[in-house]
Amino acid sequence: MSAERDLPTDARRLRIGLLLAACALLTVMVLAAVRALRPGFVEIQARFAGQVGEAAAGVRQVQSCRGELDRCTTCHLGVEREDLRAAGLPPPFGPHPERLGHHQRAHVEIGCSACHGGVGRALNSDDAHVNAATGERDPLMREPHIQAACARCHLPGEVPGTERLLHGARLYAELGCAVCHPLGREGLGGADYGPDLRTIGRKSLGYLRDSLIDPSANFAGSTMPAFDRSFEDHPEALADLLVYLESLPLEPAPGCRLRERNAGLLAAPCASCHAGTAGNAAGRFRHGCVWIRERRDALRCGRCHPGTVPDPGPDKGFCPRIQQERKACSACHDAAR
Amino acid sequence: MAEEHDRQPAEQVGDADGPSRRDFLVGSGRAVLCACALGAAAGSLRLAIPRVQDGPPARFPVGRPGDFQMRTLTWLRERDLFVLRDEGGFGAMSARCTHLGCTVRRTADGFYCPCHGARFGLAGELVSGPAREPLPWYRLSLEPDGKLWVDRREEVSAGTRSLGEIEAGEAGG
Amino acid sequence: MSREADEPHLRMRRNFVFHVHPLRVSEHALNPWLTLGLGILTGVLFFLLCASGALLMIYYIPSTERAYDSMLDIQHAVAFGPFVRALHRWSAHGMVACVGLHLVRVAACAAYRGRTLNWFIGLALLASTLGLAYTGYLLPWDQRAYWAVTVSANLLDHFPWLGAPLKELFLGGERVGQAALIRFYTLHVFVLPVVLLALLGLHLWRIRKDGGLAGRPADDRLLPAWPHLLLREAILVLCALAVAGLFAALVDAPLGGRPDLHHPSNPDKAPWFFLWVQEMVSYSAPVGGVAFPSLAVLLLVVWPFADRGERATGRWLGAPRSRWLLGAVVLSAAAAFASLEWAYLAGEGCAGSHPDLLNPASGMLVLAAVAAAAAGWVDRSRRTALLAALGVTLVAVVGCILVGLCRGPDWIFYWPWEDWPLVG
Repeated sequence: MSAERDLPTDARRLRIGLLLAACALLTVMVLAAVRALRPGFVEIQARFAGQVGEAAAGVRQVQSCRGELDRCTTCHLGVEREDLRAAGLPPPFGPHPERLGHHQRAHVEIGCSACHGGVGRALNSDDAHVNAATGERDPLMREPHIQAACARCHLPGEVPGTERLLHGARLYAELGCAVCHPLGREGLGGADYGPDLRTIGRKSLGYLRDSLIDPSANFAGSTMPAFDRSFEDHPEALADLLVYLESLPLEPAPGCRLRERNAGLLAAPCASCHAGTAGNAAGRFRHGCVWIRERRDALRCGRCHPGTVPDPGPDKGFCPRIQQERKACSACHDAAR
Repeated sequence: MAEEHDRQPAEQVGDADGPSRRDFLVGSGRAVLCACALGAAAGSLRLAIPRVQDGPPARFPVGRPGDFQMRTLTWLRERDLFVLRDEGGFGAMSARCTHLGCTVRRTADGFYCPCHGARFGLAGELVSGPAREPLPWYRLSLEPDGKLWVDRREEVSAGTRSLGEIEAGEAGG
Repeated sequence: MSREADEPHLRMRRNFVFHVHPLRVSEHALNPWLTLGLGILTGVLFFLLCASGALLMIYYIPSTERAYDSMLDIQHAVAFGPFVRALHRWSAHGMVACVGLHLVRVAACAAYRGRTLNWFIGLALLASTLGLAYTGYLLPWDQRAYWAVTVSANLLDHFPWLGAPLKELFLGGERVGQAALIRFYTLHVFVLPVVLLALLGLHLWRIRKDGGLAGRPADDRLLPAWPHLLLREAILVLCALAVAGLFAALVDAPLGGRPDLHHPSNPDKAPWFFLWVQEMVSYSAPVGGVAFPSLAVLLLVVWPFADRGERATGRWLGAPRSRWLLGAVVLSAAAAFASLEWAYLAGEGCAGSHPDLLNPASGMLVLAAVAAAAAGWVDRSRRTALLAALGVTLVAVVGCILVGLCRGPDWIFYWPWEDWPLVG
């Protein structure tokens, strides 16, 4: 097959090759070791120690009521330290910007990632500040978007500090979003409905904004009307609606009874159409959208209001569907049974 | 090479280099491979050493002051801890025997470890048995959330009471 | 033998190695282009998988409630955790690829002639490897793993008679849950590795019994295995380790979000080595899910019995004439697949009347039969016919994997540079 092989030369080449291959392997192992043995927090803790003059604390972790581990305070060492407020420390080290109000000991009881998102178990900046579902960088929610996180345990408006979330929820009802995107069991998307939005909060904020302003930006065949003009004069309303959309992952939260009670309400159409001032389902159903009025026949109205419906008005009694869905409301409202 | 040809004339085995250079090649190759193997073993060991340990945190809430009746001793089963309350205030004492870690039992005159018979007094002081140390007491504090918190990392002297200012009927927080 | 062989510790080492290789080997065994070292590569990757898998087992918890959290810890808090996890993931994908290519190599070199038993051991090894890769895919318990396994387990529903009971056996229930996770875990860390190791021993023993690398030319001279063969293999092993390590150090294994058991991601895709089945099932369940895979397996099973030609020649694809013929078959199959796929994607509704007949998968099945008959007749050789059928099948499989990778939400085709739209 080949020319006569010179065996001694071959053996020497092989020995050199073996040595080179072994060296290559060793180099790779050193590379892997260098990358693996330098967790980000060690460096950050050393910087903190240098600035404050305290010994490095090692890994610190908090177990939330949901049983989740949160290690953010390993790097955010000054979050609970009111005594450092005057020191003006740079970002990862200073105390929490505002008093935590409802959750004064949030950093000990529920951890940071419960509200701010990110990967609470991570031990370096790059891994921690990522939305685990989308892989997006720096998801850390700040005002007003952090109000979306309140919905993991609370109803909109239930606790102080969720005003914009509540406004967003009411806009969702008043603008008639729920007509095409009901948040209940039937909202699975399909020919009759728009896409299921029950987990839409997992998408990025930019994606949500694009989908509202110009639905065809993300989905070429969208039949949803564009809302590019609607919010021109009301940027705050747009932001509030986005806060509500961000609050819609509706993940089950084992351990928090509060959350379990509210999950049914949030998912039930009662609350999404009849959102009252307190975030419960006490309000009246109303939507003033011209587009919906024009298409009343084509939309779901016909299911409860059969025939040609000139204007059913707000209070025409209960349709069977609403009657059925009210079961979810009865979790709290005894009268609704 | 000559040597090898002498020994193995029938086989065309040999090396273009003399034995010394070949030995160097083989030796250093072997050394690098050993370094690789050692590195892999060391890395595997390092992986097995946890950076973060599982288990309950050293600092934890035990409840509101109102949860503890005056002149009672409460055994917190999950925490291996006694919380006592009397006129002097609150105290937190370990329920873990200092001998080999069994959970001690309350007796009329103190505490008794069922495993090897160690006896402790009412304040955890050593009475008899194989244990060498008294039961440790931990720091207890009232935090802004209205709950009593115990910190296992901070030991205090036996019999320490704190928060005596809280009235008996006060729920606290 | 060289002087080194006289040293006692070397003799011992040699004795172990020489259970696999004889003291003296044929010179053609040194030709790297004959085997491409695929068998050795597979072995190296299997060793890496065992080592990294054992390390991962220290931290992994096979419980639906804690599995994902333990993955997060491995990924973020364990020293060397991401490296070992990436090593395990990429070695697994590499091993599936190497085993597949090894099979193609053996078929193309006719190395199975006179070695029918080892051919079947090899097929069993392929099955175990796929089983390991598949069971391992569920263990991270992230959104991707959960739904990929849900989807691919439901492929079993399309198999007549055996499908439903098999699915229940593997999942321990209707849905993927705790029962399925612990079953997959047991299969992955114990049952399948033991089976694979036993088969691997048999495989190597049969190679030695059957006279080493197949297709030795009659006039080939014998060389001492040390150093000429063994050092070559050692260099290959070290290079494979280095490449796998480099890859693992540079590219992290992906970890999706926490699984959402009520909202599948859209699309849910099976891992690439099963993606072709999923793609074909999207054309037609009876053809893509049952007929095509069954016929492919049948081809591999009858292969060593069908070919009664000359023994292995130590050349790929036999005579130059056969090579040209098979090259033409593969090229035209690729062109045919591209046109079939284009026609199918362009005319969404055209297959409406006979979806089971008019689709790329059944088209490629017909083409495989035609190509086998034509190539066999032209070359007057059953081996060429078999290779033609295998070539067309491989083109269909690879093509379907590529198309499957391009599938977006609702299983609609998008070019890689196109963005996927919003879906509910």
